[in-house]
Amino acid sequence: MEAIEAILSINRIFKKNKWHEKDAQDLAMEGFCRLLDSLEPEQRILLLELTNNYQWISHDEYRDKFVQAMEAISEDQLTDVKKIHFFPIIKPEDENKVKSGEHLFYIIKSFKRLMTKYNHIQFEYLKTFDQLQALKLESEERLFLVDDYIGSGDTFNHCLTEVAKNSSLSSSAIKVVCIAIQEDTQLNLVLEGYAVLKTIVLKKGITDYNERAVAEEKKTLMREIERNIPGSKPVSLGYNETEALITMARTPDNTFPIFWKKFRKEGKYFDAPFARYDEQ
Amino acid sequence: MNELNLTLLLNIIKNKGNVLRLKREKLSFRQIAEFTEQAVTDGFITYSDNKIILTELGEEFLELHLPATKKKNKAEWIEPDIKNKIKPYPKNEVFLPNRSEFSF
Repeated sequence: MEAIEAILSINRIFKKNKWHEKDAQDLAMEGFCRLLDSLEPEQRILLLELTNNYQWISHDEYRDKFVQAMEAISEDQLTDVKKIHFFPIIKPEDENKVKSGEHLFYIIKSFKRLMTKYNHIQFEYLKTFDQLQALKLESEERLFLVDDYIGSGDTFNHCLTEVAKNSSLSSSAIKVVCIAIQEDTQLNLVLEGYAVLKTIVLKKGITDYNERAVAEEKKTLMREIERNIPGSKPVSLGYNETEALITMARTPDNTFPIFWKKFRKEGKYFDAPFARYDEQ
Repeated sequence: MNELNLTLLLNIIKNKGNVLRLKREKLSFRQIAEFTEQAVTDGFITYSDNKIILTELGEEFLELHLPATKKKNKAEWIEPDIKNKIKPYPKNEVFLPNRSEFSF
């Protein structure tokens, strides 16, 4: 595939997904095109294939997507509920950092009226693990753990270890709410007894879209590309090999690094289409 | 559609040229993509199975307009590299550069 053909294809993906209407579209489009121009023909095809299944949820879509996730519950599950406590999905060591989960509190507070199924329910917000430990959950109360995106489930499991220390919190009284979640992680959570309210379920970018032998070939090809992405080793195919294809307000490291880390060719660096502001 | 840009585009497609040549015409990648879409609509090229091919109309257009893109006087687009220009030394002169001027 020639560069000009790849540029035409990426523009069609942008149009199909209405990405040209997004705020940072210029940077993303230029990033994609420069990258496609510098890749080898078969690498271009792989990048386009992945981009075709990519989700780009910008900040201004959070409200609608999160409200949609909250509403994805049957009303009978809420009939007896009087109070819901919200807690962000964070690791204990990240407690004092600003995280996306806490930002979602703002949306929940501001747009509770849009969550029509919860009209009769009082919302409370827990911000620290100390508050979580002190919580005595009554039978007509629930705990909702919230985040914008759940990737490999690593952060969730750390958070859950803390939740488990409070004996009044049983899995049946806990729900997980997020805008997007990886399919296999969701399956694990459900098997552990946690109901998940979400808007988007993501498949693994290569593994779940290809036959096994083809998937292996494509992963090898992706690892070849990653040889030209400095610092990509710990996040090869995305952190924990999540193979995620998503950009939220920020791109999670579960996403293939080609989308968010600088690519290097012949000593020249190319900005990633969805560069993270802290990536150099 | 600008004739020069269309000629450059068709030439890039036909001869697997560098697409960055169009960036030199101050086009953004999005404009290049839209411009290519327009060329499909206008029947100069076709795009299917990830392949762009010149149509007969495209071939004719390229043949007609390509010479004009190459007519340019070299002096108009190649700037002399004046800072690296040195005076020729006479045949028998021995040249001993100043050590402090070495760049290595």
